[in-house]
Amino acid sequence: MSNVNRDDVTNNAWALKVSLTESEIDYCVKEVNNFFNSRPQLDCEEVIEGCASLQPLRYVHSEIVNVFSTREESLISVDDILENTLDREGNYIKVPKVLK
Amino acid sequence: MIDFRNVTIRQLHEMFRNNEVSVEEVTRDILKVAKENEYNAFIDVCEEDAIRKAKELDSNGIVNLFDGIPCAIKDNMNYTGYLNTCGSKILENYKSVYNATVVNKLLKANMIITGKLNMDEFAMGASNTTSYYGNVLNPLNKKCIPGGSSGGSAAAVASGLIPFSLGSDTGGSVRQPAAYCGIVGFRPTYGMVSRYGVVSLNCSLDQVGIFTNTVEDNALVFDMLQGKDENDTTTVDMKLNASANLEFSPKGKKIAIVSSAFDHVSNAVALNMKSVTEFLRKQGVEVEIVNMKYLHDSSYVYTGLVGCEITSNLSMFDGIRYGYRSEDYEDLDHLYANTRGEGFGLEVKRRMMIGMEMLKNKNHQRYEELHIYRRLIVNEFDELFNKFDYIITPTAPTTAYTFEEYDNMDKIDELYESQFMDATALAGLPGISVPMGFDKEKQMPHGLQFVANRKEDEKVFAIAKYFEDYYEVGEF
Repeated sequence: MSNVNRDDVTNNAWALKVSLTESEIDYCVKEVNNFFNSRPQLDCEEVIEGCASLQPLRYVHSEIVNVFSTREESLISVDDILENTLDREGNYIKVPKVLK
Repeated sequence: MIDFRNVTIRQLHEMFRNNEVSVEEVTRDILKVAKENEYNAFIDVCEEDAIRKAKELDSNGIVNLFDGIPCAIKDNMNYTGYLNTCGSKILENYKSVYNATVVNKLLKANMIITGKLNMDEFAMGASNTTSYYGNVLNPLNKKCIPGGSSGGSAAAVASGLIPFSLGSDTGGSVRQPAAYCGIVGFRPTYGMVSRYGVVSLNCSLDQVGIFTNTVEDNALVFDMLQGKDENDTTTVDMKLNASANLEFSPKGKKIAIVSSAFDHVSNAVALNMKSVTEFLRKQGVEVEIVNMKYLHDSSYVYTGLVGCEITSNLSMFDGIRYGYRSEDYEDLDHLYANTRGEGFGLEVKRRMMIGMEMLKNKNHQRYEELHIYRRLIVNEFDELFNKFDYIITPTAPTTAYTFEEYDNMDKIDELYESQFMDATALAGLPGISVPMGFDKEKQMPHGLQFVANRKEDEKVFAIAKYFEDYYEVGEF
């Protein structure tokens, strides 16, 4: 169960520089929890299958993901991304060979 | 006054050519009704340029098909000198300083842009009840929502005021209001039409779409709008000719109908879907009912991704560069926060909070899951299109709700109302909604959605035209 509380929403709002009224905070707490609780459950196999398709594109902006899915030829090759994509700590992503 | 529910673009062109009516007469009639704004469909009326252009065309003579054809555009498409509010207080009084590519194409084709159309705030909504400028009313029944987010665009066409309008479709914002208002609504393959100058909701999903009363009119407008644009790097470098390829032969075609089209919809929609299935089989189409594993989850994925992308897309609205600015602030941070707090509506804030929570470090796995899901949805469609020519779904699971019904809906229930449209948008597929029948009890129309593979927009128009010509939709 998601347990986002008033402090979370207040901090999120301030991080985005959006002021919320007290009643808006209450509403957003309810709605964010409802949304997160509606999360579908992927099973292990699905995650592996999904990652196998997605792995070269991880951490890349979703727009580039979409370019890959709608163009026959992309300006950016999968190898370019594998060689040049950094993870959150600034290290190059190491993709297991099995997923390439 | 022409009722464009009964007059097509080609017919109006002939009327101009035969001097049965002038461009200026038609334009003035439309502007008058737009200013009366019975359905609250218009936010701004583009009177000065429309009249100037109409006079110019009358004096120079009508040559090309689109010369003098009137239209209107959603209020998130920049048109120099006119309001571009996106349905939000935060852009109240903001006037565009440049043209969107689609606007330039309309103007280059000598069309008359008559106004800017009401919409859900920043295209967030499926009802046109989140606009700062008030609810749009459904022309078929004013007690009902027109759908959204392009509700003004749908209402303007459904009322017969104009032959076509432009909207934007991120997860069904053209197709769903078209279904609720009983007209044709088309979302192209992602990248077929430029997004340059259209205020973004979600960059990886947004597409400009078209509302018309007929499939052929829709194809004509699509042919004119499509094409590579150097200002939008996601546009596809290819050109289709949909209006010249409207022939459809049902024999030997294979169509998949999703199983949830019969059991996750209202009784009336299910009945109509059965009738459509029988019709297609009688025409010689091979129809198979298929189960799509990720269809239902697509709405969760869609909502999550939209939330994430709007947290950055909406950051440009800060009270410094555009539109509304709060007067209540002590320092720069409070100026930003109070401007957004006062300028954004509740639905925008709700979605921003979902996105911000999703993007937190502790939740990054959930964000990645959204992309995994999106890929699984794309893969599922790809597999189906290896076997089938088309996929068919109802556009929406019900008819248009009354405003009262809609106000009492749970947001999570509302979220899953869009699953048939969200899934195809996530996969970048073209889809068209055409009227397929009526809910006899509610006396409101249903839409049927035809979907084809990416870049097969011509096929979508062809089958929709065949359906429009031969399927008995009936009257209510």
